[in-house]
Amino acid sequence: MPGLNQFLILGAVLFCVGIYGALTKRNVIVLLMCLELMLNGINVTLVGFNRFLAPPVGVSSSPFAGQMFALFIIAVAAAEAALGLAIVIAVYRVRHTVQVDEIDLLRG
Amino acid sequence: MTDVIATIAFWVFAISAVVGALGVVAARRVFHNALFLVVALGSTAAIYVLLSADFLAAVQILVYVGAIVILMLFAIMLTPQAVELPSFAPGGQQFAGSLVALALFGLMVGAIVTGPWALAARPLDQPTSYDLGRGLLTTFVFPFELASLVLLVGMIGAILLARED
Amino acid sequence: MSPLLPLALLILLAPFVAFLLNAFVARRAWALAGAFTILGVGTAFVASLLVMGQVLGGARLDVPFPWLTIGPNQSSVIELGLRIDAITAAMLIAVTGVSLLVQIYSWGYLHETEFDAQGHPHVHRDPGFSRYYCWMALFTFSMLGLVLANGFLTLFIFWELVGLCSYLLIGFWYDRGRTEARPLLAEGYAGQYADARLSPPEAAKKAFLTTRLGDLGLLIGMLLIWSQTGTFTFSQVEARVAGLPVDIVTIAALLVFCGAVGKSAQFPLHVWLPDAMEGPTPVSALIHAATMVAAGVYLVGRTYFLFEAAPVAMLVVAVIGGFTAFFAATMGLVNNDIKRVMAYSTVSQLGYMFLALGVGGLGVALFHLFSHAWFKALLFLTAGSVIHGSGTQDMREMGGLSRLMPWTFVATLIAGLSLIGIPPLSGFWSKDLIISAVEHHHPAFEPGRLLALDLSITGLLVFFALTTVLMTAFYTVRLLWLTFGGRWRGDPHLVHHIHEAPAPMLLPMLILLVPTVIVGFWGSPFFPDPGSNFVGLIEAHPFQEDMSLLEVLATVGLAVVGIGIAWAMYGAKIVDPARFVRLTGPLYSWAYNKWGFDALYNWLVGGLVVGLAWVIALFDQGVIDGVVNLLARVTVGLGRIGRGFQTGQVQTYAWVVFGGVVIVAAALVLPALFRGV
Repeated sequence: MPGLNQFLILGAVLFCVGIYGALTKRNVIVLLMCLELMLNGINVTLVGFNRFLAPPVGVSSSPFAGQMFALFIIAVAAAEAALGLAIVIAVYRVRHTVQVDEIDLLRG
Repeated sequence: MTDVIATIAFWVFAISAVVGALGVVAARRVFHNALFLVVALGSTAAIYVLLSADFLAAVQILVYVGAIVILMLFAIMLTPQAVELPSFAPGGQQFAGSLVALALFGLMVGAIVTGPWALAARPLDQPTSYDLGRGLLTTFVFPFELASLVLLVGMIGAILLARED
Repeated sequence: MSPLLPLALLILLAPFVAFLLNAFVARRAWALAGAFTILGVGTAFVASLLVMGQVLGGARLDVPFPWLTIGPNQSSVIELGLRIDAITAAMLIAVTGVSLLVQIYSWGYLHETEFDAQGHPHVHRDPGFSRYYCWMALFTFSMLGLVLANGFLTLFIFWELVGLCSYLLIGFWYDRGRTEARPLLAEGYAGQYADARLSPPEAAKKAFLTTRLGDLGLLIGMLLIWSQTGTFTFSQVEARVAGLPVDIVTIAALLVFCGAVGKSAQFPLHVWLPDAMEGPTPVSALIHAATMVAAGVYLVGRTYFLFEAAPVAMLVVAVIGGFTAFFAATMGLVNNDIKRVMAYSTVSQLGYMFLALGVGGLGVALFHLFSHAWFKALLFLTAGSVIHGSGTQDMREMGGLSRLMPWTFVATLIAGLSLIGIPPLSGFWSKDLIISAVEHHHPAFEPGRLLALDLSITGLLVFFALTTVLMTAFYTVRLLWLTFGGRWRGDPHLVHHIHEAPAPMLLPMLILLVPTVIVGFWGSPFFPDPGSNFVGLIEAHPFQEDMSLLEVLATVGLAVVGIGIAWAMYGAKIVDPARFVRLTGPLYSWAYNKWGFDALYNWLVGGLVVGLAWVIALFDQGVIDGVVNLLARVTVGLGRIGRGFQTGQVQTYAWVVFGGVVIVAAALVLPALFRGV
């Protein structure tokens, strides 16, 4: 059974790959996918902490705070993905493109 | 024995998760990106199981793979591109992106490795559903209600935004 | 309290009140403006006569008004003040008298009669009528204040005011542009051109700037005197002059004389007076003949104690005066504009006055000032009548006016003879007194001997004085012949419209004939007591100039010779002036162009101003504009840098955000990392 560090590094890898993809990919939907990747990496980290770390002193006793956190993150990620995709659809209707670098009306 | 199995399982699923992530980034066609995402998310679910988060693993599969990725697939199908354009940004941006990513990764690894983690005497290893449910309705009732509100708002917003008019 | 003080205040305030009232009088109530000024000046004139009566009885006035108290221990008091003595009383009468007559004259002058196609006359009034009388009242007030001043500061304040009024009145017709040289409409002068003239605002500026130069000297001299004696009041300075070193007094006297040179248009600051003729002729009569230009002479007379203590300064005054008299007369010989000839004549006669002052004849100089005021004013008024009636200023276009304007002719003739110095007119007495004063002059030193040359300053001065008599006679008679003699040479269509001066103009001219004739006797040997003799009154001793018959005959003889030459050239036409012009060739044209001084000054000042402007422009464009442009460019550059971030692309923004995260993380992690390592 690998120790905490391995899980944390896994989480870090997922997170950083997600960052790279978010900064580099041109398709908006792929961008959102990378966003989900990042959130997943965070979730892994949280759940890893939950399993291996001693429960904090003085906090209201719940041994699964980490997992609870991850749960909420999943919920929010779902809502955010839905909204994000709705926006993509709306933009696509007007601009007929999902390329991120073509949606630059705020260009100064 | 279980230890060895656990280690092997970890490495298998860790590698598949990383491969899936890299695939999301590297694949050229959008659809392939989505499929790689499924691989990554599924592997993560397995990791959760290793971490004794059984309920979470199930939720991960149900929500992430079952709903979000499906949603993304729908979006992909609804936004066809006339011309097949390159999927990656120009070189300069790649360089900048990889710079940031690598820097952050290095920092994180450094923090992880040298972090004085207060490890528990005995790692937690028990079924979680009951406690999760109870916690949701007692300690974490407030975020629970808020989360439902967020989902409601998200739903309404998504409907409004994607309306045809 | 002496009765002189309220009289003095009345003299000052009457024209000033007229000025204030005129400032608020609308253009429509033009007659009110004229009435106010005439009443104001008239009141001052009557009061001046009363003052003279008091002064003849021995009364004097010297009253200070403390103004500022300065200094470390409140030790110095700056005062203004009024003063009346013999000089003042005489000047008061001259200023108010001439001013009053000029105001009445101006009423007629500012109304022009125009003839339409059918020959019907239409009277057209100058639109600036009330503005004219407003400035005239202010001028009279300023001149009277100058005359009544008891100290340098008071005098300087009014000195500057007088300069301002001169500027305002010269530039009275401010919307008239330059007069270009136009072909003459005169028979016998085909192919010749009337002179080009400056615009009135330009002439006003030229006058103001040139006198400013002199005023600067006066100001510095004034301050020098203050620093040496601690007071501005004339009587106090006079008391303390004896204790000062001669060099300081000389410098102070010369600086004060600078002011006189500027105001009285002496060489080298003479260039403004001929161009000042762009103003209306009554302005020329009042300001540039009788009063303002006399202020310089008055100033030297008032501060005579300075010059008496500094023989070098007196010599300078005499030489400049004599030279100017000679120099201006040469330019008057050849000029064709009736007003300009008289302007040069004024400069020349002022030179006589300074010449007299320089040889120690204070009373004599002021006597010539007094008599010159009347007949020169009359000459200008007659010139104005000629211009008003005939429509031209160029004498070549005139002629035959003796029949068409008889009264004007008589007045000009008599005034001209007075100017020439024909007995028994007033000019004769005053001018001859000056010439004998010069001839009997024993200067304190002779720079000629210093240079081991056998030059005598007195000889030079006598030469100047006598040749000027000749030239004065010549140009005056030339003027008379060209203007009044022969037949009308100008535009034949205008002959019918030539008319004698109307009553408001004619009356003052005739009134001025009286002092022109009789004022001379006041300074003559017929009345030797100081009480009744002008010179004696001023110098406070019995008349003692010995005018020998020989000198008188010589002077009058020279005048007659001048008359004769002019008669020969213009009257009887025995000698042809044109041949004379060809004979003298370049000398003639050089004199015609004012001996090049105008051109020289224009070149000098123009070059100076342009050069300075060029340097300043360099600084302005290079340094100041450069700094401002730099600021602008820096802002634009910064903006461009900022713009680089606003690509409008989400991923750029995301990159920036994560970049920030990296930095924060590094800040948190790296120190711990390195501590552990």
